Amino acid sequence: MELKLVTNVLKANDALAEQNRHLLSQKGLLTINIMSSPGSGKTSLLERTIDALRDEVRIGVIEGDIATSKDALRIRAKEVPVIQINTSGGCHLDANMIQQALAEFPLDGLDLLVIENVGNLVCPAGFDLGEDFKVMLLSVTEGNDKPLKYPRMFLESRAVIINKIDLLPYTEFDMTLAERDIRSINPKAQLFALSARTGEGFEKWCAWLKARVADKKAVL
Amino acid sequence: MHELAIAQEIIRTLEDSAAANGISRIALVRLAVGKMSTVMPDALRFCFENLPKGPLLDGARLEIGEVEVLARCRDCGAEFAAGDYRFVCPACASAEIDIVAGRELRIESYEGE
Repeated sequence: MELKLVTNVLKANDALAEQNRHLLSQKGLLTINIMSSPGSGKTSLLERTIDALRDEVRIGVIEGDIATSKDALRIRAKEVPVIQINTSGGCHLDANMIQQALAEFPLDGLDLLVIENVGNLVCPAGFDLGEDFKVMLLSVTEGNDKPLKYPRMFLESRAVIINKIDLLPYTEFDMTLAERDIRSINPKAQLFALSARTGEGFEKWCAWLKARVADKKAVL
Repeated sequence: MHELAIAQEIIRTLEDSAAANGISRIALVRLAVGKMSTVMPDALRFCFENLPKGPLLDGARLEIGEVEVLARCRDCGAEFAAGDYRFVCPACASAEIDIVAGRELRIESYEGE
């Protein structure tokens, strides 16, 4: 006989993500999930964002990598709370890993929790961690074809950051084309262009992020 | 890349459902897999077929229905296929779009006794 099941295979992950979201929202903590290819500059973006907002926003970081604590050590040097998750081969973070990390994370007294996902342009887009929104980082050295080749990453993100604009003169990257492609996938995405190395473009990004932190606190 | 974990989750879900419904053998499992699900049907089938399974699922077939990406405009109500991932309404150019289908990763039903 046929049995109708109609069950989401990821329901276990989604249930844990909702628990994470509930916990973080109770604390008025804005949580963002940063995704990109390996080497796009997620950790550099974070380092400079922490420096820029140091006096205004209390930031905590969960680092996701397949191996090593290299990123967590860089963030720890900024004297903010950080925890490293090693997925040991896993291609993305999932809600269960975040729940375990949250259990030992000093959440009280924080305004913003940043989850740096495993560098990967495919899988992280499909997994809810309990974040308020996803942020996609694309660097100009990766080339113009990435938004259309990996559309779901751009589709699921509330903000898309184009990094390494200081290298624009040395690449074939076409900023106008990139913006057009990203907008065609996700017309409502907030777009930023910046350089985590020189700091160009950071004011706009930090002001926007600060406003989202304030929005989150306002609904508490 | 994570099809193995997905296949394990499918097997676990089927085992739970079979136990709850007094099913001792499953011959066929029907899945809906959206084109945007980040899961490759062939890889999923390979993992499902090659994972060790008890007598409940021994020899069970996986039937995978791929689901196209479908979007609906909130402003004019037009529905359109968005296989090219362009989420702008082709009728009125609105950016207020809901994605109706394409993200699925769902067990629809199974044949068992």
